[in-house]
Amino acid sequence: MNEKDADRNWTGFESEFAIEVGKILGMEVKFQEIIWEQKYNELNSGAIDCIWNGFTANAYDNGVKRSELVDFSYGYMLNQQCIVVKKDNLASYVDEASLAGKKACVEGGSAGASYAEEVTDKDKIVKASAQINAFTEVKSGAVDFIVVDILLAQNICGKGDYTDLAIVNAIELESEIYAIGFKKGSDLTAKVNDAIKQLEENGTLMNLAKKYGFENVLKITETIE
Amino acid sequence: MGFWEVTLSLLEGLKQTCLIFALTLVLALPLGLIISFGSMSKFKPLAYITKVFVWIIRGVPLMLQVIIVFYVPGFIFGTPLFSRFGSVIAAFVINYACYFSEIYRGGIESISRGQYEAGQVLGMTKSQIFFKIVLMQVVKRILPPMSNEIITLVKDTALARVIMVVEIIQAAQEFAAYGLMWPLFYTAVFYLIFVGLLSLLFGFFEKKLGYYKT
Repeated sequence: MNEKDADRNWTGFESEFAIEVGKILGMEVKFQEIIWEQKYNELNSGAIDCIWNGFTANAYDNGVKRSELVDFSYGYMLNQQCIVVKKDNLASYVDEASLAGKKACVEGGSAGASYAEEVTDKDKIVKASAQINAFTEVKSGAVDFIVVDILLAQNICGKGDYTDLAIVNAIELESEIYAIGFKKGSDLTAKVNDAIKQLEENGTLMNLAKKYGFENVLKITETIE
Repeated sequence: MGFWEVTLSLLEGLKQTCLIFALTLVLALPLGLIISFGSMSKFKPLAYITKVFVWIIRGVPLMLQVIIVFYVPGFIFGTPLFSRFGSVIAAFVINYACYFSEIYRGGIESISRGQYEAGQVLGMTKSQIFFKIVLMQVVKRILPPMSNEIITLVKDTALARVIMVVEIIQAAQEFAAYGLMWPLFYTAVFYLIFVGLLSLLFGFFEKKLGYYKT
């Protein structure tokens, strides 16, 4: 949910959030884009120190709880996955059963990937390296539906080259908690949690959320289950 | 997001593409020659070790090698050994040096014994024979396969994005966030121009070296 501004600097709720936390901890925050499927390798090899961009904490990767793979900070936002299809086909998607046997594209290693495996055949699922690439897949007709973050989908569907895509409102997915992921045993987790509490109490977080239109989904939760 | 803005951003990516291309070429060309000496060595153990090395490097996808060079040192030491860009260069140089070494070997072994004997008759030393007689003829013979490999290198630079080095394809991919797909297809123009210029250059060299043809 972050993008680069005209000067190629990162802007967005989470970038600003990270910078605020950095200020409290006296650390300079460096942003590094990664290939999402490599997130655990990036973290465990020390190439990055934390995963901080719409990282769903209450999800599974290949049947393993994410909280067993990384240490999570407090949850800071509630999100939902959604189904996106071509506008012309919107009418034929009325419930979860109508997804059965359809071709899907999801981001590899995402919460949406596990969902797609439940509702359609495993061999009909294409895994993209980033959520954004899934939109190209469904637009080109290579797949029938994609599972992506609702906040991202709202941002993209109907814009630019994607005017012919739409969110399926008839199918509602479980809600997710976004949190920051750290390498197992990292001493950063507790420090960042303290900083999050401070930012919540002094109102900085709410102001940021309002700036980016996330005031309804901002929620600090101490547990991520 | 206008055409001009996209072009500027892609040129930024192209800079990185060119840098990967140039550094790989400059470092892999001499390294390849050294590896080819290893695989042609009369000292058998060295020749075997070199051949196994070349087999491993040519037998594993370059994409995987880039990932290994970047992540594996991090798993062992807790922090990556090279930067993202450094890892790409390290993996590319080793990989291309191995391919080049086999082309060199083919070229060197294709030179007839008579050329060496002629050098000896003229009283030249071993290194004089190699650099003044053999290598010059090798260059001429390996030019076509080398140009093939070098053109492949231009397009292989796109693999750098597996560890998020922002080359031209990755630069174009970033516009997908604004709902734009055409920048990705537009990158083809840059590759075509790049490879087109290289093809002209190689054609020119071949003509220059074709001095026995009338």
